Amino acid sequence: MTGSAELVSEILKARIDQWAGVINAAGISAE
Amino acid sequence: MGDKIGNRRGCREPSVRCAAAAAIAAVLALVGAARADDYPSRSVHVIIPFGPGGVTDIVSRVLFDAMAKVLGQAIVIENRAGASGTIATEFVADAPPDRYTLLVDDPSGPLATGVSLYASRRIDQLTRLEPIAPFGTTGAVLVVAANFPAQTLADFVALAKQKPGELLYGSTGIGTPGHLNGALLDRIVGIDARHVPLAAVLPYIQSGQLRALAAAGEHRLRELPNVPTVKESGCGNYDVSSMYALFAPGGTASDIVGVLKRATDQVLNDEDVASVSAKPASN
Repeated sequence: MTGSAELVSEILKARIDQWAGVINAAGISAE
Repeated sequence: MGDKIGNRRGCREPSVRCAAAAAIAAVLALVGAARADDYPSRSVHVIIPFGPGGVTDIVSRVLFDAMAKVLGQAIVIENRAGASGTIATEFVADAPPDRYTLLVDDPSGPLATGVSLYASRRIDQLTRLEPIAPFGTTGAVLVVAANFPAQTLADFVALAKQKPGELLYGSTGIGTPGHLNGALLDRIVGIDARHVPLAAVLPYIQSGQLRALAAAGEHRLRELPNVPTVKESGCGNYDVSSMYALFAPGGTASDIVGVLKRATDQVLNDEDVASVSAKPASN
């Protein structure tokens, strides 16, 4: 696939928020 | 000319200082252009946040073998596994933006999950890394043992709701994409399945020991064309596909990012690279 740096940034921003909700709700910690 | 530059830069009146600033800016622009023209003048190191032999490692080696030929310099791949990719992320984020240390990571998975899984490390992935380009994706699939009673994802969800906390799901470890993808499915469809570590599953699907219920992405998987997506199964939007993308340390000059972006695109149009990357992944 080809794509832009902007696409990567958009996905990263969206997924940081998404995963924060999932990880916090499930009480998952890797530390 | 001095007036125009001075006004653009916020100087209220033309001055020697503004003229000097303009001259310095021009020199820096020329230096930047020369750097891009010469880049790379030595080997480039690419950090892979996982161990050798995995999908990320294999796909990256194919890409960067071809990219080294395009750039005319060796590309050295280093595997720095650990902490769900966070160790590699930190390493590249802390590297000087000298254009010779790059990172491969998944902005939809580990690079994003590391923010919450390793909150005490406090790396700002959005500012400490400079995205260059994506270069691949892989899908995910929901499977059950071949003798499991659920034939479809809807069956599975109904069964899981009847037995909260009793159904188990596998991944390769705590905090891995498989683990978190399971937690996300729990949340989306409203079930309580428990996590246990497992190994790669595609060989088990192909041998009939596991039955695929749904592909966990926007589209069906190339390797499993008869398996519907989660959305097609009527269980909502659930896309946990992985993306491979190339990053540089934050602050890397845009002209260098441009050189790497063009090289990545050129390599991805190479038939040999495309044919290898089209092979099914096994984990």
